[in-house]
Amino acid sequence: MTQRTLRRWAPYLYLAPFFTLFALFWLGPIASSFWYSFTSWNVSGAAPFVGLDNYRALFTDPRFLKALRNTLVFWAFYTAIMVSMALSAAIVIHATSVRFKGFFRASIFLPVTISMAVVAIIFEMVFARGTGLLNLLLTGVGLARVDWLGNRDVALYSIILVKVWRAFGYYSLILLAGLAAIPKELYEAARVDGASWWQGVTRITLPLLRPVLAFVMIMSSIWALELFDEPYILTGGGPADATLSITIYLYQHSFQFMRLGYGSAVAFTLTAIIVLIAVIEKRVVDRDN
Amino acid sequence: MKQAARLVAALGLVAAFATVQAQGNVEYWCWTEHCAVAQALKPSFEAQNPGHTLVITELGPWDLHDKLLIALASNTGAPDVALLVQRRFRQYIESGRLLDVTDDFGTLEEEYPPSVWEIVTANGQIYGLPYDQNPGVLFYRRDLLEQAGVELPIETWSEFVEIGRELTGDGRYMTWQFVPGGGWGVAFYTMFLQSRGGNVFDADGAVIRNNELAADTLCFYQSLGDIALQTENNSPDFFVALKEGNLLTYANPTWGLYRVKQLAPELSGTWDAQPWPLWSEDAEPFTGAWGGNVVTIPAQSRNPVGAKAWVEFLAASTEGQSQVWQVGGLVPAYQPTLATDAVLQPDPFLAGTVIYEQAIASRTLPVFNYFNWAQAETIIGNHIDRMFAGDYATCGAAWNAIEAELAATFQ
Repeated sequence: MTQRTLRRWAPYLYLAPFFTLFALFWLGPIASSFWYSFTSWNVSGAAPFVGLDNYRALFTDPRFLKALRNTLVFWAFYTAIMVSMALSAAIVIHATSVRFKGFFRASIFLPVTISMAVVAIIFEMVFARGTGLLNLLLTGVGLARVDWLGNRDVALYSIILVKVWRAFGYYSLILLAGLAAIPKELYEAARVDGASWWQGVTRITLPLLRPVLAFVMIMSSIWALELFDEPYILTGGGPADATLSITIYLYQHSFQFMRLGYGSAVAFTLTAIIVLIAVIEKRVVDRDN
Repeated sequence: MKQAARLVAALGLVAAFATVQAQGNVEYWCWTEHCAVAQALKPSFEAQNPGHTLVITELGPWDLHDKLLIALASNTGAPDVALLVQRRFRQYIESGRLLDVTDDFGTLEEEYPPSVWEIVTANGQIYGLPYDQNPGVLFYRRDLLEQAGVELPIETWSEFVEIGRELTGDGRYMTWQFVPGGGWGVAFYTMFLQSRGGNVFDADGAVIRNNELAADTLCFYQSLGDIALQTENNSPDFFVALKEGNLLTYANPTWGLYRVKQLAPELSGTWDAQPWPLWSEDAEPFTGAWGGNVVTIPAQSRNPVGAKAWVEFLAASTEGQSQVWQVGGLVPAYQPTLATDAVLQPDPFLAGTVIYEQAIASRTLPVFNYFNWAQAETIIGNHIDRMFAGDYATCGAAWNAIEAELAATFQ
């Protein structure tokens, strides 16, 4: 092998270990799972081919449609609330007049570091019907108790509350980093021109923060659509499927009902939904740019 | 070249050693108190089975079931022995990936109650051994019920409800009920159904249609809502009610008492146990089960000899099964154990009551057919939650909806 040939192939050889492992442990299982989504594999040896039956069954299963609705409602409310809160927190903490920035940054990030098991215990105490903190506050001001996790009309929004509490600190820090990259001179120049604080936010901050905001929106959308931990631990997907997400539905069918072929079909359907929403969000942001 | 050959030879030796080592190991997957049982038995097992080393791997119960499923599906990575919950076991049998132990354990059938033996068998073959049985017991606050002038024991469920209606109020409850319950709520409901000799599926796995007993039991279950503290599983409301003396009874297997002891040790001496009430004075002396486990050997076990030795030691010896009671707090499935001193010890928390003699021995567990139970449990649990939310005009209508969906799903 000549030196020239070696130099030409060297980059590929350096990348080869990664891509080999990537193909073996990522692409391979995905391709295999895609195949299984067209079968009725249920753990025992054979995986009979059933064509599109799994996908057809999916869209006629009332539980899947319920899970789809819940997931989309969760995504819409969670993303809107979380991004608004994260942006507001980032703007406030970034303001030059605010002191002890480090303390506030650490405080809002703390929920991100807490394990879901601990979060579940905390929020069981917050949401408990009789002795929970929220209901003690409500009854203390003369209002009626709310069954935060047991009422079908409320449970999903309780889960949104938990998820926002857990996540907004993380996204706040990302937005804070984006804010720090905006040159201060722009704000000074705007002040000289007589711009108000609000005009500074809408004419300078938001436009220049757009790429970071787009990243936050897309990442939080992906995580929202993959919702599993919070409803699984707090409500098990109940009451009566009121907090059933697509991932919980996938988990039930794959691991509890042992319908691995059908579960694969659910997984790919969810992937398609996530990709579709991410692409739409990216296009909206790029178009505005 | 010589160096490469030496390296290959060394690697070969290491691999051979690892294989031999693995063949001497018996890897056992279990969770919490069951792993504590295994740890207590490990020295004795290894002394009686030289050449076999018990390797205990503790996992969360549902984590264990998930990982075992993956191992069985991929035909790699399974332990030598796994502990599984009884109500999900049939699905694992149907995977075709468990070791048939009929020739090894077929003669043990008479040593187990039919209700738990049935669970480890399919088509005349045996795929594991029952580990425990979880018969329901009525634990109660003796001091509070005696204070209220209640005549003990409570003989029937109608008596129970009557007493409950008199005593429930001002933050005090006769019993506890999972609402919304999901799978946990279904487990509580099926305790009542099983204790009436009822079933959801017949012995062949077909949904029982026009199941009046199940419908009537659901109506009874609904009526308990008038006298029950209704909370989700693990709700702080339950802990508070327990500790403040606002929960008068606790209808549960013995693991429920274990929970009370952990949460409220200060209540020692105030609780007692009695048999599961009857459905009428001349009803069969049945109780219902909640939980229960089996031990099984995946067909891919690398040490089937050691695995069978461990299964037999754990589930078919009085030594093993005594620890299930003493360390695990669970009623042994292996019946010879029930006559030993280990099980007949007075419980200081219950002011010296011998639970087995006083509350369990007089009841039997009828057979309950768990088919596709994970999915059936989800269907039943959703409808029960909807019933308590007022979606159905009557409890009978709720059962009809359950039956229709079960039949449509499992036709």
